[in-house]
Amino acid sequence: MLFFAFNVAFVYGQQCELRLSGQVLDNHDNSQLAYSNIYIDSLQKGTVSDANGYFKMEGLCKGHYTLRISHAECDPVFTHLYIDKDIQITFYLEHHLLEEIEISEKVEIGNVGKSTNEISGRNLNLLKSQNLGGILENINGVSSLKTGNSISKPIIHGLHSSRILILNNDIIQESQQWGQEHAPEVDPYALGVINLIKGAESVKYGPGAIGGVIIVRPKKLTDSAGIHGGVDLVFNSNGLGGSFNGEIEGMFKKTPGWSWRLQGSVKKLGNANTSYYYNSNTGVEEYNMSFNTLYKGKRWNLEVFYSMFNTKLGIFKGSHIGNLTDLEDAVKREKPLIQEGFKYDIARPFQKISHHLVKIGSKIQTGKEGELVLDFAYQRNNRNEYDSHKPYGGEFDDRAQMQFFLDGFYGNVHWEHAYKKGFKGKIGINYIGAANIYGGTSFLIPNYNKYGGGIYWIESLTIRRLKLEIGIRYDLRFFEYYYYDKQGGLQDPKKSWNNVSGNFGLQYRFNKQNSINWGITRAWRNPEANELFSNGLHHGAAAIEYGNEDLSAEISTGTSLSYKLDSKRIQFNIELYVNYMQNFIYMKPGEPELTIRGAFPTFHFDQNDAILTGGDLSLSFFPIEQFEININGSTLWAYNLDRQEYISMMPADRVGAFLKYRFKSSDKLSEPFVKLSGTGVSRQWKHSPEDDIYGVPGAYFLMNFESAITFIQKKGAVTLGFEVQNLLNTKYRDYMNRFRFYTDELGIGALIKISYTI
Amino acid sequence: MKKHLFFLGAIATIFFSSCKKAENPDDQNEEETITTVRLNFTDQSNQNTFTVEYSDPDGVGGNAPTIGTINLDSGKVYTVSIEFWNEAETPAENITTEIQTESDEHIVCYEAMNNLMVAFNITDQDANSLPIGLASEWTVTTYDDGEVKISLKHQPGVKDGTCTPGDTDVEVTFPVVVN
Repeated sequence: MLFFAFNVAFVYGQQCELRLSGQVLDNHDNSQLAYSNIYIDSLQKGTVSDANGYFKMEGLCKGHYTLRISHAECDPVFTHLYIDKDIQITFYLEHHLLEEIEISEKVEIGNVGKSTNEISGRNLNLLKSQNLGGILENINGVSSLKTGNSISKPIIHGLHSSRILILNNDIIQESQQWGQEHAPEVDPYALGVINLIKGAESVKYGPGAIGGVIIVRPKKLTDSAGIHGGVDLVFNSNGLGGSFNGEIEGMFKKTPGWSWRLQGSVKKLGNANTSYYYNSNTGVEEYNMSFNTLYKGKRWNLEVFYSMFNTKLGIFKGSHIGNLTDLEDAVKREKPLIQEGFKYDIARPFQKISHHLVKIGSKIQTGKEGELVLDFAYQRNNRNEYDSHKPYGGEFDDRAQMQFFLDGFYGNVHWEHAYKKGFKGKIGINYIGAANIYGGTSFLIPNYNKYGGGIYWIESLTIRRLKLEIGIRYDLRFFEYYYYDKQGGLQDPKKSWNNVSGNFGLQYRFNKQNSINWGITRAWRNPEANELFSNGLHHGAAAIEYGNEDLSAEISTGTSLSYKLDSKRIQFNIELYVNYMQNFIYMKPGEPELTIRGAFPTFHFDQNDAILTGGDLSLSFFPIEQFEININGSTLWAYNLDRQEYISMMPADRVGAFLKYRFKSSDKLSEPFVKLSGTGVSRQWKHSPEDDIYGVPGAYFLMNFESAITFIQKKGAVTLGFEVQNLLNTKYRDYMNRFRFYTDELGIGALIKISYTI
Repeated sequence: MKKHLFFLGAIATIFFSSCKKAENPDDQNEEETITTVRLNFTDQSNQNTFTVEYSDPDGVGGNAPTIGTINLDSGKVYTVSIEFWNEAETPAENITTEIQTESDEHIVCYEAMNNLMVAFNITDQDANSLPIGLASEWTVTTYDDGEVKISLKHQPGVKDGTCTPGDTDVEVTFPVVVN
């Protein structure tokens, strides 16, 4: 059963009143295929056939279109149409035959044998008011590392931060991602699709992608003339605020081939509410914009993309602690001492971050043989962290305690050869350079320059139902560090790393409905500056952290196996994985140390061999076509082989379930649904008690309600969404929230979502 | 194409200028830390003065702090003023004035420990008539030795005259010998 959500956008203009209508039938018995999707990717516009297989699309402009016609039980069919008058057409969908070429196009190169997930279309639109971490939690096996309610980092199969790569419009996002309280700088409103690859994917992207890759892309630009636009408005009762997004895109008739989009969003939320009280100073402010333009020539194209992300994040006031005694007092308290009620203002402590990305990309057809892809990008990241206390000393001004400036430069060139005798592949090189400058009132990490590059080759072979893939990559990284030691002497150590990544993947489709994926990967990453050079008190964590200059590279060797069943009544997906990590870097507890602020526990960055293994499962049952009953769950076992104990700060096991009813679509209404879901998270018993001296929060159960409906108008479409998070107002704390010692998680919140596209 | 090259050139310039910047790090060694707690005692019976210090000039890690011993006479009353210094800076920086300026957000607390019998009476007040603790009177009642724990708390918006709320900026313990 293939189900895909879509976005309805209608083209505006005098010339754009053409109509496409017809029927979708089964190729074998001419049975009418109800609820088939007819979709034009380039317009992000689609419709659904009625109970008798009839459909119609109105308001089309004159032009060439590629249509995707799909149905729950059929593989999608792509058809090219030239529309210059009203057209009536019958589509025949293939139920059983399996064509080789179709398999080869199903999976993107580099992803054979891997578990991939996608959030796009209306599903994504309904989630966009959340941050990236929150959106990705909707994928089984993905959870969040949180710092209070405003900062959230995705965790894939237990790994996060420097062990995950974020690819923003094909560019590796370069920021201070090593920090546990440093959330990804991505505006969901700028996105059209999010792909997530679970497990190592180093061959295509390089070191760092040990845990997985998050690939975010803007919507595809239009390839026909006309101006489209849209607005999105979300109100959230929890925080009494919301977000607004506006975008306009199109192609002028006078300049065919040249398309563009301008998008901007703002977000404002006040103090968030837990089940019984407000978390003081937890407001969020965000303002973002992006501009995207593409020129399509006959045999080449050129894309220029710019995005800007700005945020000010309030940090929960009760989380600021001076020393271990304060921490112990905070842990003992039933609720935080500071209760300031509801407020929009963000006071100290807070974070202020901006991120700019400029990309120039080009694709050039190299005859019939393939395609050359060139991407160049510049990024600037500026992060400021303001402590609860203005800094002592100096002018006693209101400056930030920590400032980071990062300039990053990225280049990628690859050549992808066309499908030939079952082979398809690509070869590429990339370059990465960054300068990271730290300024602050106490030492945290050294300044550094980073240079590096990699070269890779991936080849896949399709033999009927079997698809094999092999990839190999070599990388070099060179770092120059600069810092003053305790005696005031300038230190400038240099380090270089080089290593090999590889993968082998296999996909086999037994028939239309059953397939397996198996893969084996090797990936690595170099230690980060904080892991090598930290030396001192980590404020807020109430811990003294010592880096270790002798750390070696972390190497992951992993294998995963997944099985998928897609039938009319049952959708089943199971994935099992084992990830053996050599030199897994972690913080090892040491003796407490006496300082003028009192006693603090100490932690030394150390490395051991570790194993991370687990599984994700999802089962959907459709007693009738429109009603879905789903259960899902994920488990993870992370074990330090040298210390002979579980690794702390790994997500606990969880099970979920939902009931979803999809009402019938018509030519006026599209995909209305209601969904009631529940999630249970167990108490994390798989941890190291030595690392968790203040214990582990208990199990909890949450319920959510979601619904949405799209009204198709003469011009444009309106989508209304309604969601209630934490429906039962459950009071709980989560192990993966770094503020679990101080305060509860969020209570009930209702969201109203309105989008209008034209 | 020319524009393309110009753009790349601009990026390269930014990149290489920031590389140069990285080579000149700030010397951030304990810029904002309090390294020294100084207690100035005045014996009210004879106006004799003496000073005791807790000092950790190299901050967290490095050398252990040096901690002075407080010698008091039983039955006497002392006027005590407390000073906080950052001696990692040259010249040393007096942090006490900053605490005085934001006295409605700070409190210095004194606690007698390990059998010590000293009564602490804070003699200064902030704008809200709550104790600050930079000035105090210590009354020694018995001959028992012990320790005194002194803490500086930062209590923005939550100062209530007690030591409970807020976060700890300083927490030091001095040994006390009573003669």
